[in-house]
Amino acid sequence: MTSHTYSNIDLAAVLSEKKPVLTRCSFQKCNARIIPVTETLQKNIVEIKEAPKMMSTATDANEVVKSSASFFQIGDVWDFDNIGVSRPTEEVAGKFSLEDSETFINIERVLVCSECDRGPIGFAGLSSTDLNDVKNLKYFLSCNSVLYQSS
Amino acid sequence: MSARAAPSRSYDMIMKLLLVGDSGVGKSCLLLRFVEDKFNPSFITTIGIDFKIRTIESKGKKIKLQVWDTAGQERFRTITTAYYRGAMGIVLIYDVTDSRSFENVENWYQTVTQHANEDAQIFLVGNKCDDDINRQVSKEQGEEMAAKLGVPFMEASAKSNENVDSIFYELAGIIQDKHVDTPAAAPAASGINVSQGGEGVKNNCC
Repeated sequence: MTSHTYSNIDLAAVLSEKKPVLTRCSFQKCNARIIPVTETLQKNIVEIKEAPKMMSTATDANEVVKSSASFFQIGDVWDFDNIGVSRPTEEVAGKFSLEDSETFINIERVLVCSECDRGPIGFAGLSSTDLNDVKNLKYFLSCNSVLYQSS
Repeated sequence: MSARAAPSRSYDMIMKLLLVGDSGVGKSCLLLRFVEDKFNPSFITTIGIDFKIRTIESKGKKIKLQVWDTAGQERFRTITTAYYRGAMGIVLIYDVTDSRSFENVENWYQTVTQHANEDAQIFLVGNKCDDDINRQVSKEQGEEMAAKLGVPFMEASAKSNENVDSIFYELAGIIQDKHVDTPAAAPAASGINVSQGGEGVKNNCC
């Protein structure tokens, strides 16, 4: 199985052939499964302007240089196979509104690989209408921060 | 407390686990896979991990673990009852090179049994067992303590990766057996049945 970056895989085409697609940590020695890409997840890709800076698979592994715009939106943390969720931090604090929505997402946490702690590969935040409870967190996995594997 | 049923999901059971013990015993390290030249960015060690989701396969079932790390709160004894709520397993960790952390095991045991659900499974772990030169607590002492408390025991080393995965597999297996007769832990009736082969994934890294 070969790994692809987000820019060199056509997720919609691969999924339409009913082939399973997995996302993995881009650190070669780790390679942990992050989340399977389902058709639902693929449809939940959102473009976020002025997103926090994320690690990019296209650059040197140790550099966090690119502000990634495409994110998988994940409502249930149990959809992940492996993920690390940080404590709330000011470092990524900010807010944005999703398309067709008047509510804001207040960014408060970063996501890292659960196995090697590498990241940030995404962030999590609370909707402005939700109660401040960890169960209400919404997760955004950066499409450009993981590798894609399909059989 | 019961395992959450997962009829339409790609897992058979979920478990909330907690890591407790004195600060410095290596709780956070037990949640890291040891890889050579491990990338350990300073930003995440500063911020700290709140919890991790890990997926394992145990006895033919795909189990998702949510592991919470106290990460420093124990220093101020501010671990609240809310932290223990719903926990099905608690890993009580001491450092074999620090006898004081071992002496605190019974205090931790009392705190845990006071706050956690009655049927939460406690698991005693002596960490840093690779460090023979600085060892202050023998394996036998650990075994005696575990027998006294009536809990399973294992020595581990996050540094040499010895038994690290075993802790989670053992603990998940025990909890799985406890819930085997409850409907919530019954195999998923529909959805993706990972136990039937499929992708043939056996663990979280292959």
